[in-house]
Amino acid sequence: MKSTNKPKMLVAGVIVATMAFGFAIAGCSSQPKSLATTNDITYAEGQPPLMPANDHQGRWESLGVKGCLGCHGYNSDGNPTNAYATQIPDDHYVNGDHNGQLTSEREQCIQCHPLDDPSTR
Amino acid sequence: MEITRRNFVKATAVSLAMAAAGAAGAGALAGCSSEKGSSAGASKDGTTTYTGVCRFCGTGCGVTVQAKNGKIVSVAGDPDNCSNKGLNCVKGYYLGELLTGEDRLTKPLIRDDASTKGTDGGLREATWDEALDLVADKLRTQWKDDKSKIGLWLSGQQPITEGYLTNKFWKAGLLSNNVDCNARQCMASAVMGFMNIFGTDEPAGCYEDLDLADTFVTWGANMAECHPVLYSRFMAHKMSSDSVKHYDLTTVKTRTSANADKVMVFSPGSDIAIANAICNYIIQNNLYDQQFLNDHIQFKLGTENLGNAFDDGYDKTPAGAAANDVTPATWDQIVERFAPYTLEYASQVSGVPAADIEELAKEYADPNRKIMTLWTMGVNQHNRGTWMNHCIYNIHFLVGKIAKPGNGPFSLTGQPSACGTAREVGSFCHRLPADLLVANEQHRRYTEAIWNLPEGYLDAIKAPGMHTVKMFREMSKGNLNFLWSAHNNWAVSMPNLTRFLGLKDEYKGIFSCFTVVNEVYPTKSTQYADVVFPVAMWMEREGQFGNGERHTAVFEKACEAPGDAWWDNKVFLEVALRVLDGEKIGDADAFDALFGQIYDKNAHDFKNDMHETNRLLWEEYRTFSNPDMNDKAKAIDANADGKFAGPMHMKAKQLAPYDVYFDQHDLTWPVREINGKWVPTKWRFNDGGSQEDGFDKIGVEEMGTPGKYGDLSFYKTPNQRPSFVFRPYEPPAQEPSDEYPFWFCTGRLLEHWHTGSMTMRIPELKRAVPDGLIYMNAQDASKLGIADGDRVKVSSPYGSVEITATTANRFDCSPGYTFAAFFDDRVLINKIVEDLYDPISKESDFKKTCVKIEKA
Repeated sequence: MKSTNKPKMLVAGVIVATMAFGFAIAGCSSQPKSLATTNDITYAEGQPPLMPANDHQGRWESLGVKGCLGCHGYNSDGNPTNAYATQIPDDHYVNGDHNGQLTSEREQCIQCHPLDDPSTR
Repeated sequence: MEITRRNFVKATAVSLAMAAAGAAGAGALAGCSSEKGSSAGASKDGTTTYTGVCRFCGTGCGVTVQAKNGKIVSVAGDPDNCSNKGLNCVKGYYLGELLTGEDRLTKPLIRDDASTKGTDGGLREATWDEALDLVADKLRTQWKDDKSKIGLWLSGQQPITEGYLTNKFWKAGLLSNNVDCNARQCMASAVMGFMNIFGTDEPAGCYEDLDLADTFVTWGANMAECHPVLYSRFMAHKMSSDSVKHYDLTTVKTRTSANADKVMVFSPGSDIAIANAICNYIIQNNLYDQQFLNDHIQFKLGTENLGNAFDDGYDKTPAGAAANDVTPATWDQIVERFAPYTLEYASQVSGVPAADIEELAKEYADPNRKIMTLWTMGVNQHNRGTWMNHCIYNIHFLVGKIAKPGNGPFSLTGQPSACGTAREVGSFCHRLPADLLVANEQHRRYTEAIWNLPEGYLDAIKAPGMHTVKMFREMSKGNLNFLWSAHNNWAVSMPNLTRFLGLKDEYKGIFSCFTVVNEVYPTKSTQYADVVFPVAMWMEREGQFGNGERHTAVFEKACEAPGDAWWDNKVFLEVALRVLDGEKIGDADAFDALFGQIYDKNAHDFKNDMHETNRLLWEEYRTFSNPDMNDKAKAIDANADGKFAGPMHMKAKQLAPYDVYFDQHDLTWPVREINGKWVPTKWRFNDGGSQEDGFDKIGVEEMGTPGKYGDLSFYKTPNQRPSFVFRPYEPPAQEPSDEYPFWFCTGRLLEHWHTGSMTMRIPELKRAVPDGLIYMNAQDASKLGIADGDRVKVSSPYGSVEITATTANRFDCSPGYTFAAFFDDRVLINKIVEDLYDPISKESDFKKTCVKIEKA
């Protein structure tokens, strides 16, 4: 199994303020689960949730995958790091192990999780 | 125990699918976990798993679909599909919802009063018989009266057997070449590049090159939004090594620019000057691969000073008529023509620093770096699109970097089956299946042999018909009386809609042209239709797509079409049997001669089920690339009687038997049978490794010359020498002026597919991007008193629209540049898009309109 050798894509202690908005935490997809929701959308299994716009505008552009992992990824504080964030499913990690690295093909988070915002620019 | 990534992603897809199915039994997914791909299998709880393909972009992502109680309940990536290896983008994961929009068309519709065209009203429900009789009567009457005034506009979104059948109906049944498709507006410049250079369409390399290259050059391609899974794939490779580099050449910074090592923003149209400067630098510094050029390449010059195809009569002007003429040239002549293209000159024309162009030239020339150039609509939708395709190949030829793993120019495809259906099937006014040309006698004889037509029967169609823009221009002038479109939405996607929708006094042809539309949802095109046929979409029927890497994939029928919607093939056959009633081909009934093997015209039904019907159509189509299946065709292919210039080498595009595609999801053509197993070819013309490892061993051995320099043999090309054609820089057709000071470019976004007729009905995608916006430079907006979110009026010499402006940085426009996607039919941005096309490919330029912007 090839693994990336660039530490820059690891969860690198990107600390962000705890978000004020809670939403249901999506479980890892290896276990059947109830449907995840963000804002008022209900997602069927396998449908990637959109990023809530109110507190995510501009984050991808400024922080990229590190910004996403900073809240939604694993670190020693927990999985997800930010308890209020939607957990990244284990199937997004190499070998399904959230202690490891994100599968490199899944680092373009925005390609499956666009911003949910009627005024999206 | 280590697991491979492939197995891992596969396990993911399986677990997803199982979770969705509510803990489906493992037996349902047995196919997924074998080395071979899956095909339909039922589980205990009534959930069935199907093999599918995403129906959006040209990447051709395989998907695994689960259906329960007649509805699709989950979509996951197909890990066995070589094109995406289990990944999708957001559009793919939401595919299931595209079938269930509230306003699906379920009944045939008829418009009794043509003056209601362009409005929401005027269509009434009808029976299939009434609608079919009406369309057949109009088509037959016009066909008998003057068949130059009928037209059929197809699509790169049409499955292969459907495209094959409709083309056969139009070309052999009606003996009309007035059939073209929306791939004309998408890939035609790439096609003309391939044909001019290689004599065969479609690339030598494959997506696996994305895992192997050292340097990526995206040129006029916003892959992060338009080919997301391929972008992820090369970004994954880039992040795996500090030595992988990415250069992005673009006119507007996009998401694809975000992670590039160097972004080179060039002035519209100056791409040719940059490419030529790269060639000149490589030549002047003796960095070229002399032996590659000596052994493999022929040099040519072409017609220059082409002018621009604004006027309806352009094709018949001296420049237009000679646009694709070439003459042989010497190396010295080529060197001399490149000489003026100094780094400084290219920099002056393009605005790109000379040092950056030099750096990129060195990157191409470095013998230790594998390099991949990727391009799409920025290059193809270009008033010199074919030329720019030539220019990219010229660079790769100079350094001998082509058709080798990780090395190659790679034309990205726009639509899911632009290659499979439009190009391989030949949905063009000058083509027959499998790259064959109507104008070539050997090609017509070969086609007649496979279609079992009398010799000489197709001589009636040796002259090409109307290309897309001509078809719509003639329609708008009242010179087309019957127009049928399927799998597209011309009333949103064509340029200059102000003209084609009859919004100008002198162009009212749409109101008198009897217009038929096969559709799944109400669209702008159905607003202009006299008859609307409701049809099945995506996996409501079985079909096949061919993607940008020569990969053919099947999708199974997973659910029924709603209401009275039909499979398109039934619609076309029911019209065909009415129009051809009483007609003969030789002594045979015309309909039965063409379609009797699949359709019983007396019973008005297929003779077999959908899978067998598809198989029969496929096997007939496959004969084109397997001449051994037909003795007469085999003799013509081999030029057995010496009547023609030489052998046709039709096995160069060899396809496999239909059922093989259900078991194997890795078949990039040409596919070769080795000991009963079908093996794909990844790198065409390269015999540097075994067939089993993806090299073109069998093709080179049978049709080419083994042992040539670089292990390459371009066996499908005349003289086995691809053409290096010098193409000069000529300025854009129009440039910004005091009256129209902004460059305006159209394109796609990640969330929406083309005209939005499907993705705007998927709630999550609509929420993500609900409105079409025009992206502007903040300083430009400020000078005009425009704030982010203001409504603006955008005008060009062609028309005007109202749209919301934004200065957000999804598209980072330099001063003077603007961009808008075309998915929002409430804006109908193409009303303002300029109406001119590449003189060689006849593909419209959607990228360089000059506009003015005012606060609305």
